[in-house]
Amino acid sequence: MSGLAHVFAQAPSPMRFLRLMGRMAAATAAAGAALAGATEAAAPDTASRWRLNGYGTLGVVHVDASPAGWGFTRDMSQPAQSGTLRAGIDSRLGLQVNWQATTAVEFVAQGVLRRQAPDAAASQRLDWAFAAWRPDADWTLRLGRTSPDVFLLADYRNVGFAFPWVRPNVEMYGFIAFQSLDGADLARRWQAGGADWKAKLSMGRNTTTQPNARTGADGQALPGVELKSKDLVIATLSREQGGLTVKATYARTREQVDTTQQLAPLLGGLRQLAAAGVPGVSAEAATLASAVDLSGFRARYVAFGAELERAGWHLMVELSRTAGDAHDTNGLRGYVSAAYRLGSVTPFVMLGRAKPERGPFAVPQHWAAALAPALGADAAAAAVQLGGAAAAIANTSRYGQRSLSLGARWDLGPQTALKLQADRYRVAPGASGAWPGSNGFDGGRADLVSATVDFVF
Amino acid sequence: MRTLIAALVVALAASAAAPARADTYVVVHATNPVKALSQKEVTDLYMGRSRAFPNGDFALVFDLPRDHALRATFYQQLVGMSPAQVNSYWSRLMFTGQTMPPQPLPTEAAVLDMVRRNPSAIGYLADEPADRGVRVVLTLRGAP
Repeated sequence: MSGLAHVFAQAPSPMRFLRLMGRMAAATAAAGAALAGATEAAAPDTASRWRLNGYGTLGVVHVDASPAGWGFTRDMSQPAQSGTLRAGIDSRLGLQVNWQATTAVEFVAQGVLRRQAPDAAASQRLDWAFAAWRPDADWTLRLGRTSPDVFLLADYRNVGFAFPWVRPNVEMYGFIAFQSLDGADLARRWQAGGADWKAKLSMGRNTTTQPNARTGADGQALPGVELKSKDLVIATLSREQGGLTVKATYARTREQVDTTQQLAPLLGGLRQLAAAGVPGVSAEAATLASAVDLSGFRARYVAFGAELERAGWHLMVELSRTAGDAHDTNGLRGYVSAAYRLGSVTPFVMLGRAKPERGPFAVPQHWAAALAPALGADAAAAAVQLGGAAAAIANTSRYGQRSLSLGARWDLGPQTALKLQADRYRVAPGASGAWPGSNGFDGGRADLVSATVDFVF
Repeated sequence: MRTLIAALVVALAASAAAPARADTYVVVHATNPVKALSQKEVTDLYMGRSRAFPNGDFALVFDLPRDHALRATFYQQLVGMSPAQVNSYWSRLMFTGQTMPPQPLPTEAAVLDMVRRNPSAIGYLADEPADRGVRVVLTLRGAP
């Protein structure tokens, strides 16, 4: 299967991955040994304090998208793939080392091999690397790299064996910009009124390399875009009782996208137009410039999720709202899903929706008439082109689509599941942000058929 | 396609007959001040929701390997989940660094030995232990 080879051709070589895991384990051990030596606490009398576990997914997706050339990705960190049969979308391999140094101190490192931007740093393959301190049965403090725990499934979105579908809902999970969080989190759990409560506060930062959806003038892929999330603060509160989990999240972040070099000529042109004081043009040029310039913006997320597992049913609903200075990323996203367990087979249905807050930009054709008297027809046409290019770029931040997914999970054994899923996507015009290869203006549709084998070990 | 449907039907039929025939005994060290545990309390310990006995003492929770027949029976009786469901549940917690599943020991004999030697330990056995070093704190009844 050439598709499978392709996945790992884009990812670092397995040897490099294993070396990375080896370094992680060595660093964990060294830190742990120092800490264990410093404390008098006796380690628990257990058979083994080291544990190595892993998970993986092998999958293929058949994509039938229109307009032709649209690429399907399951999240923003994934580069586009060409061809109708694609193995790199859902396939992944995760490996985790745990070391319980003392009753209260644990070290965890997890690397995930999946398709990411080709120029993403090797350190971005490391999803988790932290030390956890549990002074008593209720409190946990973690330092290091953890996950941005923004949605119900955010922490285990890579672990296919943990959920019914082939992949988490794309409308909800596809746009999460940051894949990990370098910092600290403090969690406390308690019981009240027969329910288990958990509150968690996380703070940190993250750097993720996003593949560049656009190509240069020579048709070659442009270098990835580095997205820096700073001052990331996430607060979550969850309550579990009798199979019903309810979770509320608030997150805020300061994002920096380094696109200065690539966008400098475009932004320069727009700002000149904005400063020129031409009625019907300058205000629009200023709006476009601010929509394209994402060099620094603030964003806030509010999310609510509920999950019910009872009597064979597994129902989920999640809703999130993004608000902030980057208006085109603002919007509502959510999904509902129902799965029913019949022995070892679990059929499911899922409906997803993403709705941007404001409307799309169009090519500003009317600039031609407004600018021609002062600039001449050629310069006016060039300005329209510039405005069109800016509109297309601004629209790539917009997620406006619906999806319907049907499928089934079949537990082949206690550690392996086979999943089959069909998805139908309908994408609104000017809101194809989830689809690399789109021109920024067209709407579209895509039908997917996916098959995966998920396993844990 | 017809073969796939046939295979699904066979799988359904097979998994409907979940094993839960005999009683299972949840045991702790004889000196553990905890005299009895409710099914909810044992569930909290085995599903990673609690790390302590009701009196606040740390609990060391021991399990059997993932492919052990008694493990399937135990979780079916305790929480009504199949081994695949239990593993799916744990993969949500363990790969997110929240908490690890109970430490598996290779055999029931190893569980008995560990609980007898360790005052904080808790485990489960298929037979009511004659050993005076351990105490049964909960009996999960099998199907009649």
